Amino acid sequence: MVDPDINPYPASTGWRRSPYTLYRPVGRSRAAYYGPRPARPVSNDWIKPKCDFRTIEKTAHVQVTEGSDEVEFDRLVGEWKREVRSKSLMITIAMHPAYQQMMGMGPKVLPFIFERIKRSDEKAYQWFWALAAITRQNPIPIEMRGKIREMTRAWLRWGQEHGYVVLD
Amino acid sequence: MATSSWTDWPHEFTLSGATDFAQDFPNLQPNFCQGNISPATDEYNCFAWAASITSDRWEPDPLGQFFWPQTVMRSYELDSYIAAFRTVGFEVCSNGSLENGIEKIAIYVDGGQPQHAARQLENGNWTTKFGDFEDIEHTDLACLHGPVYGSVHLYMWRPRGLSGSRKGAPNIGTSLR
Repeated sequence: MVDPDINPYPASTGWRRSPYTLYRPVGRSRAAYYGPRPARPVSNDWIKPKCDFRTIEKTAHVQVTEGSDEVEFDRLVGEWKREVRSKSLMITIAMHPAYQQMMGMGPKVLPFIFERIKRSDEKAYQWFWALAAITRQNPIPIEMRGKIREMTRAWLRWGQEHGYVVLD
Repeated sequence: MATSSWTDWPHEFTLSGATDFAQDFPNLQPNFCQGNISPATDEYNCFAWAASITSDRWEPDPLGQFFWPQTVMRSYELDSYIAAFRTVGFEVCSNGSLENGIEKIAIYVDGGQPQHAARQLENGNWTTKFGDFEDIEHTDLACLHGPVYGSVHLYMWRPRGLSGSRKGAPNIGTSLR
């Protein structure tokens, strides 16, 4: 290990520190010592950004606009509801890309979900998967599983207790 | 109860008005169907309906929201469905032909996983619950083959009129869940 405070190559030896290396002798060119520089890449695409940061900024701005979460939620709900009409299994609905995206929006969609359930309990069961996945809670006791109306009331009660919905 | 085949979809069968109905059920024609239509409901699904249960939705969802027999593993594989129907007295059989005193169900499979089940009625017709829509009576099973339900993969049977008193099967019926 070279001590940076001690110059091992005093001027009398014909060697001195260089800004590039401690070991290159004075008077020898960089090319002579290290060999030729590697060729520059033919294209310099590798230094270009992969995306336009101005676009990202604009997109981010749109996403935080007030109310856009609900618009996006409505769009996703409309999309999966249109396409799963005759399916019997909830997993088919839950695996739909739009349903997955809706769940991916996280807890901020909970008020919208509870509002929908409160407005109409028709097909309320379609929300239970998302509620359980997002909240990581299951207020449905074993004896209530599959009983849609009772489950709906149980989830609404849970939503009220946690401040996501106000029941009449 | 009407017994003649339909010549056109009755307005009570609301699924027939869906835009992609013909695409989803390309083999289903009005003349394959007859009888009464139960009102649309989301309180039970086709698997519960196949087991003559109208109070629960049957589904082995991993989040534990819907009904699935407690003794059966919650899995979407066919074995899990067979085990679930066994809890209400069904056993695997080889065909769906009408037999006196026997109630049969047919399980439709697509992509290796059950998608639908239909139950045989005493007159030999089958009854099907379409998702959250109505349940209807149809004359054969192949009319539901298609991209949504796949095709019939398995039949199961149990004595007709079997109730919760069957020995050795305490989970039979809705009352002894």
